[in-house]
Amino acid sequence: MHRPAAPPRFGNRPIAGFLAVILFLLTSAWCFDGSGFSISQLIGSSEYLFRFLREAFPPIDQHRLTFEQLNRYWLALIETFQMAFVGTLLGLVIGFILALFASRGLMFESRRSNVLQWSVKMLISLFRTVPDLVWAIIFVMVVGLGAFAGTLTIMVDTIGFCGRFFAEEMEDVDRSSAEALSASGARRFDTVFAAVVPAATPGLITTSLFAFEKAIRSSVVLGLVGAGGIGLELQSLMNWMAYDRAMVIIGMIFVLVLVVEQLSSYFRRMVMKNER
Amino acid sequence: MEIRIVAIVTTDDIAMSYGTTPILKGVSFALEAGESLSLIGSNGAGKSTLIRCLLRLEPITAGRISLFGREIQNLKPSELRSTRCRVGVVFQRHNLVPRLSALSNVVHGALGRNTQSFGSVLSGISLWSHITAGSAYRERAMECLDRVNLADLAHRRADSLSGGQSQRVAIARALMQDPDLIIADEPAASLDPIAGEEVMGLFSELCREAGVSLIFSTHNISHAVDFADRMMAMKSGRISLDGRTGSVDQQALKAEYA
Repeated sequence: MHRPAAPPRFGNRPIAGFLAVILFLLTSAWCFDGSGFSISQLIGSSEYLFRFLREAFPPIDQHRLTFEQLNRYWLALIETFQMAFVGTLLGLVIGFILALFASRGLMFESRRSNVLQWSVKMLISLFRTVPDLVWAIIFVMVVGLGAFAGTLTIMVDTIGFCGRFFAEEMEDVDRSSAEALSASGARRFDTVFAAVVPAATPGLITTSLFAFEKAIRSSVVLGLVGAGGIGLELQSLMNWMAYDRAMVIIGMIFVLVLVVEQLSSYFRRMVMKNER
Repeated sequence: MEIRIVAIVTTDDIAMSYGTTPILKGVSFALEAGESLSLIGSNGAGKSTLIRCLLRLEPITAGRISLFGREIQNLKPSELRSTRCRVGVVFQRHNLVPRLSALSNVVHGALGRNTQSFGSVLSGISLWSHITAGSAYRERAMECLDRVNLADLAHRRADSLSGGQSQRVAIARALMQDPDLIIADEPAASLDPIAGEEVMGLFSELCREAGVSLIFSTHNISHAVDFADRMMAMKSGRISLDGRTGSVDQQALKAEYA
């Protein structure tokens, strides 16, 4: 039986493909050079890593951990969770409202509304592109050290994250059901909430859960610049070279992040199961 | 005694183009109250575009369209809504909200009737779902579902219904509007022959019972003849035939338009 020959390995590839590969390799080499990445330095510095690990394990070996200290860490961990929760919640609400206006042709359809849509998109981009640590430094400067600065940081970061993805979720929804309601005389506002939002709900929920996971991870780091939470404790222990107690905090953070991630992925699976 | 016949839909020499491609070329007709009209024609003849223009879902480039005595192309948004809410629309793909229950989708039919005053905003919000809708709306929606024999599936999600069931929910949604006119764009096209026959029969019966006028487009000549008083054939954006269904030769029509 006649079988056609396999196509040539590179025969039909356009030259642009080869150029793209060469460009990628050159860019990689250039960036590795600039990033200061060095295997030899990494191996040479391993001594410091081992020293840290030696001193960190077993946790609470050199510096006795008192009940008061453990309680303080526990309260800081709870504060971290509370910051992440409230910041995410406020960010979700504001991000959703902004996404309604950033979504193409959703709330209005006119030339003037294009300007509004573009402006809201730019605002969301600003929130998203400025790193959370920079927001944290700004808010610490504005409202002072503590959890409130961290909460505001997480809120702004969540607005940037959810504003963009919520807008995309709602843009991707099939608009035929909204058009049917519009054809029957419904207001645009009603068609958005009766038809578009319910259709986008699974995507909105999964994005929200990702935002919460992200906020939990961020809220740990924010303490390093004084924006509240357990990061603040971790920072001071690292400065005092109390690595064993720092390891206790790292362990607590690991458990918190793991539990939140597991719960989040469980809820995501539940949401997607209902959509099958 | 003088008997006045009221035309509820009038189109006067309308034209419509997508870019430079003309789709409708001088379409004129009038539909009287209580009359049922079928639109036939091959793909691209302009049936769906004509239907979309009647609802101002597409803008016309020339001519005039009047619904219930109002020229729709000049209406303000609030006036357009109050005109549209008198027209029940059923699309080929039923256009239900997939994640909501059949009952919620039917309740949505009342949204148009709740947009006529600013104070009705809250009432409109309550109609986003059957859970928040008032008892009167829920009762009415159940009544509409019952009329299309789907009351027992009221709580089923729309995306779990068959094509025929979904189309019947779409009809119930149109009935919820308490319309004076129903416009349906190939309502049986995505259904198997038996479900298609059922849906068309339901349409015809409900419209006759309630005295509602009906315009529907179809590729099925038998449906066009059996379920309408009058039929209009379209060819290349123009009306090529307009007459009572009893007087047409079905075989000739099938050869020409099916």
